[in-house]
Amino acid sequence: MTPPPADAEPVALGHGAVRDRAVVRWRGRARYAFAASWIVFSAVVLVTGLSGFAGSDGVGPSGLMWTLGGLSLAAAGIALAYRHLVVGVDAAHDEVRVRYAWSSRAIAWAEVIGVELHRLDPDGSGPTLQVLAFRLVDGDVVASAAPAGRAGRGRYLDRQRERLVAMRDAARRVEPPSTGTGPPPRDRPPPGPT
Amino acid sequence: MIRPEVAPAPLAPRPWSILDAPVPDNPFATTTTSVVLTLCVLAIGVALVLVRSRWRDQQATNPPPPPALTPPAATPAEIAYLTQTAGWGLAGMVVDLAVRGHLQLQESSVSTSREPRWDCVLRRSPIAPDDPRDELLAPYERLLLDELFAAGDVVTLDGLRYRFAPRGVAVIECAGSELRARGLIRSDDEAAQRHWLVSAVSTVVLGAGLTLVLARFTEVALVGVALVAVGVLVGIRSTPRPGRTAAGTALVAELEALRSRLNTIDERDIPTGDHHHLFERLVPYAVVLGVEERWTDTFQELARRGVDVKEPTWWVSARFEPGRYWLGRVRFAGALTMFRDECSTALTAVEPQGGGGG
Repeated sequence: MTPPPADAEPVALGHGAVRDRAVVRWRGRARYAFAASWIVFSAVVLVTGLSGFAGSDGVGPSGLMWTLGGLSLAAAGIALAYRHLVVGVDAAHDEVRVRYAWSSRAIAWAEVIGVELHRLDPDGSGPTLQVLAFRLVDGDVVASAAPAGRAGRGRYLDRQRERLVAMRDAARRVEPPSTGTGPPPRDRPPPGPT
Repeated sequence: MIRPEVAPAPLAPRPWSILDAPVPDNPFATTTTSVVLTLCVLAIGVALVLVRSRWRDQQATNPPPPPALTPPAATPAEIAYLTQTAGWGLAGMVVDLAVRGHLQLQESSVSTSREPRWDCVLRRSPIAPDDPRDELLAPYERLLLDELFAAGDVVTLDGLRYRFAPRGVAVIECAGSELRARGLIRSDDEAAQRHWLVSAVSTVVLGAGLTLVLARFTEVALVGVALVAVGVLVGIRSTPRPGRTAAGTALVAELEALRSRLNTIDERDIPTGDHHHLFERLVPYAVVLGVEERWTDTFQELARRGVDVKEPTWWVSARFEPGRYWLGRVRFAGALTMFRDECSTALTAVEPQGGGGG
């Protein structure tokens, strides 16, 4: 993927999407609230652990338990806060990158035959959260972990899906020869008679 | 000169902080309050997990039809993926491929330090690439054949033990892809599973933090432990069992009905005129559903009454005499069950840690 220019200034697009000059990024819309909650959690357990250490037998087993408990839980809280900040989808002109907490997967637009919405919860009856997912030429499906949104036509996530489809289509118009053997996009209606 | 003794000025008392609170003697005390709160957290958590799990599989719109003695609309490998029984599924696949002429199974034994152990030789049948039997192979069946016979056209179950397991997983996963393409398995499993796993980790961390804080200041820390337990339950729930579509749920109900029927069948239930081939048509499914013993015994009984039942030429053994296959004293059902158990173990076993190399 082409790295964004060093002087690229992010432009807020609203609803969690941020664009610099080369890449459009989607992140969870409530990521800062979740991350802040976990950081507060970390602070509370850290202080509690240290105060437990001070109020116990110091370096004995009890004090060690308080210290280790506080530190490890604080670390876990920080890790969860970090996860909320980094997971998402980055789309560039030539590829889309699905970012997870500790890894990411880059997919060339030529490989993407469909941009879909997949349920986070298999309940098919009530309101449910969905995430973006990319169906590939080989049948594989790569689902993102964020952003999540309510199901429904015209809602936030559906609009982001449309934007990604537009980016995919634009990329395919630029580089069609190498992808001529792939199946047609599944997220566009077949051309009707003129 | 004697200096007058001056009493030191009293220090201003430090404002009380919650951190000065003493650590309780027994933070995990089983008082009425702590037990009631713990049970409440457990009950609410378990109820939430159960209610949401109930929706994992879409419900079938129509009740399953009465079970017929016909192969279901899925191969043994697909059934294995649907019902999460990889070992029996692989054994059923091997029997299925043997019935269809792709390989032959031969009873044998392997020498061990204690006593000879039952084993089975798998012999690949030569099939030309343009043979219709070859064209009918599903991708995962071809994969299984290629992986079984990667070392040559003759292998033994004992030789495959500890070596085949990762390939067996690949075969079953390949069958899962086929089910997904046919709309029997939900295709949004990956996102859902990740979501549940993150929820589980978050709940456990939250519960452990709550336990720490409650243990520091109160005697109701059991409540936090209950939240950890709920998180573990959510984690168990996130194990990758495939979620089924309505069609997948209907198929599983059909399989359950078939299992029930095969498990209670007797000679009178076999349609007249269908004796000859029916055994082989359903025996792979009987293996994967774990009811091969009753199914096989039924046909052995029919053969002993003089009914024409095709002999399984794909099974070679000194214990069964061609022409009198069903009429000997040895039950074929016992051999088949032995094969299913040994095959499922050999194809899924992972070498124990620290075990002898070899």
